[in-house]
Amino acid sequence: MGKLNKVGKKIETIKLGEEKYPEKLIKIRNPPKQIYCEGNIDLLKENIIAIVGSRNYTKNGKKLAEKFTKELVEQGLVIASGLAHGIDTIAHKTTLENRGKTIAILGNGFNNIFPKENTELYNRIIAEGGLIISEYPPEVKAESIYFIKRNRIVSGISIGVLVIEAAYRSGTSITARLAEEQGKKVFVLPHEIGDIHGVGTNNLIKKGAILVTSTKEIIDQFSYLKYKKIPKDSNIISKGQEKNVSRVKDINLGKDDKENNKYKKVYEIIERNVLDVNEICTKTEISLNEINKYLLLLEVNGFIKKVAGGYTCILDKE
Amino acid sequence: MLARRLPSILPNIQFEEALEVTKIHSVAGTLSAKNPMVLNRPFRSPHHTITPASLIGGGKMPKPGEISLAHFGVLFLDELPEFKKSTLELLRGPLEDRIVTISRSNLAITYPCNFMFIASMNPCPCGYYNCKEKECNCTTDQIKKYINKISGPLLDRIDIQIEVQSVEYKKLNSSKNIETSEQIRKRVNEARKIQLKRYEKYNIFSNSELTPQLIEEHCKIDNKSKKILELAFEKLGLSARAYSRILKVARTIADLSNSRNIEVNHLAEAIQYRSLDRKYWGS
Repeated sequence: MGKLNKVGKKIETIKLGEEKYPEKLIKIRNPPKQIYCEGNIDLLKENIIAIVGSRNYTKNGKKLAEKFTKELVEQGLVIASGLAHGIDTIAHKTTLENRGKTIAILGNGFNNIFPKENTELYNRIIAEGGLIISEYPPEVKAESIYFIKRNRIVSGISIGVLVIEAAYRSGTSITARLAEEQGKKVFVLPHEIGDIHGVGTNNLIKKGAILVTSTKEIIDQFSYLKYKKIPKDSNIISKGQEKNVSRVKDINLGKDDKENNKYKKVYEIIERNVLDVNEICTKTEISLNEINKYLLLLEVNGFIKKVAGGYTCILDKE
Repeated sequence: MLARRLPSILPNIQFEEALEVTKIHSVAGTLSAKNPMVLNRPFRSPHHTITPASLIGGGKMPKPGEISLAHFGVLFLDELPEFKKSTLELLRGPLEDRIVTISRSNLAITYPCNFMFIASMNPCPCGYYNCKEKECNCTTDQIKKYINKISGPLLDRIDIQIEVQSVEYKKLNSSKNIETSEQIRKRVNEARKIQLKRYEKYNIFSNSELTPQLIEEHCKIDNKSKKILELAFEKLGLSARAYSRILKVARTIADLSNSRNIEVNHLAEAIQYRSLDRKYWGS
């Protein structure tokens, strides 16, 4: 049984060389001398896949993170991530929502959870049969260098790493690099050229990471895993696209067809982009005086919404 | 930069307005023998280290503060989140009442402060949040903390909120299709003339001073517009304060396009100007 520490947490310390020490971690170049664990340590024996991504994610990134996490959980994998803001949090939360098991690897001690907002998530992970790992004693405070170091554990305990979104020179790219050094498979979702949230991921592809567009492609990379068919309705992307097409047809705000077509034109031009008023005006060739009427009516009727940077379309009712 | 150019498009000051502004500046002691009277609309841009007393007025014998010195002119606060939150909150009352009463133990003085409030801020501490060319390296926490320095009630009192993208170098130098300040001022003056004429008998100068009764009389909208406004309130979660403010802005937009009635376009534009709370503060 583990010792209770000051704050009442049940922390177990596993030293390098002990029987319980995760086998996968021994194989990495610089395994931690000891790891502190809280929760279900049996998870370390399962097939773990790490899902990582940037803290500042895009709407699309969120959607993809949710989709892939959910599907990987359905395939019976344990999801590992870093309990950071952004994609990490989404990966943990989505796993819990789908009754999966998740492991969070911290860059700080258990008594100084960082970021603080994720304390609730931390407790939830433990309560729902997950595991928290750190190589630092409970009283250690978070420092940026520790987060870079813990990335080697994230990839170390996993069979592969899935990168959702990564900007140029990000922590996510470091995790991916470490994973590659450790001989782990790095899976990357492709991004549009020019998308700053995808510079890192596209660079990873150039360096030889595996480009994937579906969960099956990830599973197929491992000979010891077998892909289980998932019911159709869980495919978020195709659902969004179908609705997107039908939503243009739904627009019926104008008095006549001519006016209605203008609404459709505005909607189609915005689509998946984030455009500000000026850009919308130039692209639709509707004057600045008139455009507000179209934008407002599209907005109040739930077709588009305002986001930082301009307008974007609501693809499906959220 | 944009806001600093604002004085060049302000409407000409009326004689009655000039007299009142001069009185305040006389009390404050900012007039000299050379400039005995204020003949232009004041433009005040205090630094963000300003104290509460110098902003709203104060002292043993309370002197008018920056908000009163900006009477009938502009108070411009650059880098709004850098101001102390407690200082900014002081603006709430004056922005609504257009007067400020400063009470001390032995006296209380009321100064007028009918100013146009203009402020600018970055979207995040590094300034590149949502920038298309450069990446922002602020954490969600930092951005939240920065944005939260502006309280909801204060934001609610700002009628026109615009997000501006960074300007490319090429555009800084291009000269095509640009309306000069002089041309804009002409438009502004014409709109002002319409308002002055309309409010002749009420002893007010502009749309912003309209009382609820006068709003009902002069900011009539047709049924179609009413429906849109209703829908906008329901869907966009606008406050009660926003209602009269949107109508006033719509009235001004109509005046600028020399339209007797408030059209749907004018109303839609006014509603779209209230956007920051939905974008940043909402989520």
